[in-house]
Amino acid sequence: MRRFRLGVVVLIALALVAAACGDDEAEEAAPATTAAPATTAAPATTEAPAEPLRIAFMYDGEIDDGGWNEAHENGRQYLIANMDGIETTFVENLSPGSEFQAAFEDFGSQGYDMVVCTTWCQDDVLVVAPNYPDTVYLSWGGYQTAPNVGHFDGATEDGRYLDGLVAGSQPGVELIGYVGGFAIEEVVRGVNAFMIGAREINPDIETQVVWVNSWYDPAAEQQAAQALVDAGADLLAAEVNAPAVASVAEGAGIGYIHYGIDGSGLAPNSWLSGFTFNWGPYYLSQAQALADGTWEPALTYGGLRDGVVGMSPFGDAVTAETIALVEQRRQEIVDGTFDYFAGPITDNQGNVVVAEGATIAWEERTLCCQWLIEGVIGEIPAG
Amino acid sequence: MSLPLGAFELTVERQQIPSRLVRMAAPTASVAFGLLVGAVIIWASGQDPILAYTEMAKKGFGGRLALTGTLVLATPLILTGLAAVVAFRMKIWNIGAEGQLILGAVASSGVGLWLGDNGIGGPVGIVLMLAAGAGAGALWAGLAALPRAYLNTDEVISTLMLNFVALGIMNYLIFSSFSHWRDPSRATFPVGRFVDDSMFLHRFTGRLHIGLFIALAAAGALWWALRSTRWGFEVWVTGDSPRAALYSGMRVDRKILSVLMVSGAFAGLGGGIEVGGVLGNLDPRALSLGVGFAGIVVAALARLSPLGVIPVAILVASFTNAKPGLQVLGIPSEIVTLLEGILFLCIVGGEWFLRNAVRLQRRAAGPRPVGVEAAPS
Repeated sequence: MRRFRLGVVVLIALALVAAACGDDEAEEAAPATTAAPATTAAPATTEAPAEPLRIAFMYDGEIDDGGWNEAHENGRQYLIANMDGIETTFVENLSPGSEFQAAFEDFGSQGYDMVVCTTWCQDDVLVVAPNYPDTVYLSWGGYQTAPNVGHFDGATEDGRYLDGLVAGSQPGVELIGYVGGFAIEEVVRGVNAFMIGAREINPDIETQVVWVNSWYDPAAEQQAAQALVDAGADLLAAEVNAPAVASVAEGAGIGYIHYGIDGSGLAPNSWLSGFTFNWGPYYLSQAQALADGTWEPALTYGGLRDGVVGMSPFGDAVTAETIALVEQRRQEIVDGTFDYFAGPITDNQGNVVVAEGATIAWEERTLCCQWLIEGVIGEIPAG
Repeated sequence: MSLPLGAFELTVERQQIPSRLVRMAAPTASVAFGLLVGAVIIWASGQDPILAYTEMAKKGFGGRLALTGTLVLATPLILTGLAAVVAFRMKIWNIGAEGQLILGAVASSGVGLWLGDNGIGGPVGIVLMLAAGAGAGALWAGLAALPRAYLNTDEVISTLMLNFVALGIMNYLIFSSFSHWRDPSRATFPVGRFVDDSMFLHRFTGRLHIGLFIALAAAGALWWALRSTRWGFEVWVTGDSPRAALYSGMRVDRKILSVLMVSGAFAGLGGGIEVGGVLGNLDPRALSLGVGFAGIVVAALARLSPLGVIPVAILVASFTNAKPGLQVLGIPSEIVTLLEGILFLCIVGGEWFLRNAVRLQRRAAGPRPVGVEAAPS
C-alpha cells in the first residue's frame, strides 16, 4: 500500500518550484532594480549638478483615484517634465499617525531634499521635521510653519464659483444635489461659492447637501447620490473622491459636476464641468527655490490667479454662451476686478454673514465658513 | 473523512501531536513556507522577491530608526492581540477590539484634556489618562458582555456592531461638532485638541515611547494570570466546557463578563497609548486603521499565547513599517497585505497538517471501519 505524507510532499514540491524560480530572479534582479517604475530620474543634462534634488511625495490613497490624489500625482508629473536635475519618488496608501511619521522619518534619514505630503499631516510632520533640518517638508492644509516646514492649500471656492455658473445655466434645473465629504470649512466654502455662481444665473435654484463623512466611500456616496436623485435633484455635484456620484448622474440622465480634476471620462453623457487643482506649478516653484537656495517656509494659498485652480474641458451640454461667461468671470477674478464673495451674503438661517460693502478677504478665506449660504438645504452638524 | 480519487482515496485522520520539538519548529517552517509562496507571487508580479525581502528586513529591523518605527507600530497591535487572546481562550469571540480601542482613545484624550484644563499633568495625569482608556474599553466591551452573560445573545454580532457605533461617536466628536475634543482654532481641517505636553508618554529614542513597555508588561501579566491564578484556570475550563464549569460550581456568567471586560480593557489601553504616545490628540483618521481587527490575526498567529503575541505583533508591524520603502522600490503596498494573508494561511494550515495525518492510499474493497470516518477539524 502506497502512502504519502501529502502535506510534506506538497510542501517540498512547492519549495522546489519556488527555489527554482528564485534562481531565475537572481539573474534578472540587477536590470529590474534600475528600472524601478516609481523612481523617475530627470534626463541628466551635462550642466546638471552632480547631486540631483531628491523629492518624495506621500499620498493617503491611490494615485489613480480619479480625484484628489490623482491631481497631486499629475503635479508630480508636471514637476518631472519641467525641471532638470531632480529625482522623484512616491508612496501611496499611507495612513496618518505612526505610518506618516515613519515615512517622514524614512525620507528624512535617507537625505531626501524635499518631502511633500498631499493631505492633512501637519501634526505628524511637526513631530519628525525638527530631527531632519536638511530636509524640507511641505504639507497640505497646515498653518503652523517651522524652519523646514511649509504648507500649501488650494482655493476650492474659486473653482466652485465657476462650476456654479455652469450649473445655474443648465435649463430646467431647480434642485442641485451636492454630495460633500466632511462638513468642514473648506468644503462649506466651496458649496457657498458654488451657490453664489448658480444663483447669479438662476436666482431660484436650490442646493441640497448630503455629507457622507468620508473622502472615499463608494457605497455611502452612491447612496447619498441616489437619495438626492430620489428627492428630485436635476443635477449632481460632488466633493468626494470615488466615482460613484458620477455614475448615479449618468444612470439618472442628469448633469454632473466633478471635483478637483478632469472627470469627463467618469460620466461621458452627464459631464458638465469640474474645476481642477493644478499643483504642478506650485511644486515646481518650491523645488526651484530649494535648488536656488532661496526656499523659505511659507503658507501658500493658491487660486485661479496663481494657476493652482483651473477648469477642465466642458461637457457638450454647456453652451458657448455659458463658456464665454465662465471665461469672462475667470479673467475678472484673475485681474482682481470681480469678487464673488462681495456682500451682502445671507446664510440659510436668514442671518447676514457678510455685510453690504464687505467681503471675505483672501487672507481670511481659510477661516471661512461655518455657515451655509441662502438657498442651500442642509446644515452643518454642530454640537 | 475520505475523498475518493479513482483507485485511490484521500484520507484525513486526527493524529497525536508529534514531539514538542516538531511542535515548536512547525510555525517557523510555516512562516518559511509562506515567505516562499510570497516570493513566487512577488516574482510573478514582475518584482524581485530577494530585493523585496531584503528591503522588508531592512526597513523593519535594520538600524535604530527602523526598529523604533516597528516597535511603535507594534505597541497597539500587542494590546489588541492580547484582547483577542484572553477572550478567545474562553471561546468568547470579541470582534470589537477596534471599537474598544477607539472608545479608549476617546476617553483617554477626553480625560487628558480635562485634566490639562484643570492644571493636572505629569505622571499622575498619564496614569489617569491611560486608566480612563482601559476603563472605557472595558465598559464598551461590557455593553456586549452583559447581554451575552445573562441573556445569551451572540457576542460576535454585538461586539462587531459596537465597532461602528464607536467609530460614529469618534467621527462626531471631531468632524461633526465643536466638542470638548475638537480644537476650535484649527479651521483648515478639523482636528482634536492636543493634551498637555507633560502628559505625552516619555520618548526614549526616536519615536519609541514608554507605551511599548506597558504593552509588554500587560502581556506578562496576562500570561501569569492565565497560568497561575484561579481566574486563569476557570477561563480555561469554561472555554473547554462551559457545562463542566457550571457543574463544578463556577460562575460562568461572571466569567464571561470579566473576560470580555478584561479584553476590552487591553484594547482600550491600546487606544489610550496611541493618544499619549503617538498622536497627542483624538485623530479619527489615525485611529480607524483596523488595528483591532489585526489583533485577531496576531492572536491567531500566536496560537492564543499571551507571550507569543509579542513577536507576532512585532513581525506584522515590521511589514507595515516597510511599506514606504517597498513602494520606493516599485513594489506595490498591496504586496504587504497579501504577504500577511499568506503567512496567516500557512501558519493555520501548518497547524492543521500537524494535527491531521493526510494519506493518499489505494481504496480498500470492503466497507471502511466506522472510526476512521470521524472527521476532525
